[in-house]
Amino acid sequence: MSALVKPKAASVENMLAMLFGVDELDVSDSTAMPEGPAAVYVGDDGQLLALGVGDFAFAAYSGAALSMLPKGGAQDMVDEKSLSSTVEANFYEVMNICSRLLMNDQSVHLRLDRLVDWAEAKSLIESMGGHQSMGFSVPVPRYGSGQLAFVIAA
Amino acid sequence: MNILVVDDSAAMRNMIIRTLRQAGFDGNEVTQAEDGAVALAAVKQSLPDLVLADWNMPNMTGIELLEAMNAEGLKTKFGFITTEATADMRAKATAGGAKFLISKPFSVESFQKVLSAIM
Repeated sequence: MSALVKPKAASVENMLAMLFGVDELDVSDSTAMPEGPAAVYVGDDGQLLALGVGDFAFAAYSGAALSMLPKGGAQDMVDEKSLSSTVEANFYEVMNICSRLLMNDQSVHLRLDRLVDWAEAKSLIESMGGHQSMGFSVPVPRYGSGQLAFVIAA
Repeated sequence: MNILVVDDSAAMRNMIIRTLRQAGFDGNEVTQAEDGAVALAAVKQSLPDLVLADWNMPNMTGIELLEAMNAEGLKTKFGFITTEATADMRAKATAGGAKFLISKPFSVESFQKVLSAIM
């Protein structure tokens, strides 16, 4: 088994386009590290392997998109930096699906363990020691653009 | 046909039901369960024709649900709709008796291709 897959813009684009039900999505690389809710990915032994971090725009827009919630309500969550329980549960599912971006048949297996806030995510990233990060700017159709990044333990 | 959709995400359950309709499988009776334990009770009670289940869920996972159904002799057709799409997981699903595994995110076409063969 090799290390995790490092997601590329094209793979993020393909996966999220299918999830959002559109033919095309223009995902681009980004060096920005979003400071919002994060998914904690662990291996089969429970060890921390990676995080997926969104800014509040990506979390609120993608979570709202899954249930086709009104854009105005999603924008309020971005402005207030607080997700409703429904949108948070939907963002969990988005990040669960994104776990596939980090795996293939040759890589180690991981699963989404939980969502954490940015303060805990930052602490977990620091606890990793060596790590690599890959950031993306993601337009969520009908809502707006947000930032998504993956941090992988070295 | 009675179809039981099992996923801990309410939004995902709704997406699966919507995709079933878009794929031309409307007209079936569809019920929902939020984890494997609730699904097992529902299967025992109502004996659906098909279970569409997620893999990773609290209380009882999808593969545990399939194993429990096998242990109780429940012959309902079973398929996974899951992020667990590696060859290893597909092999586990097949070994457990699952008819198919559709990976998330899914398309209308993937539902048509896989479900047409068994519905």
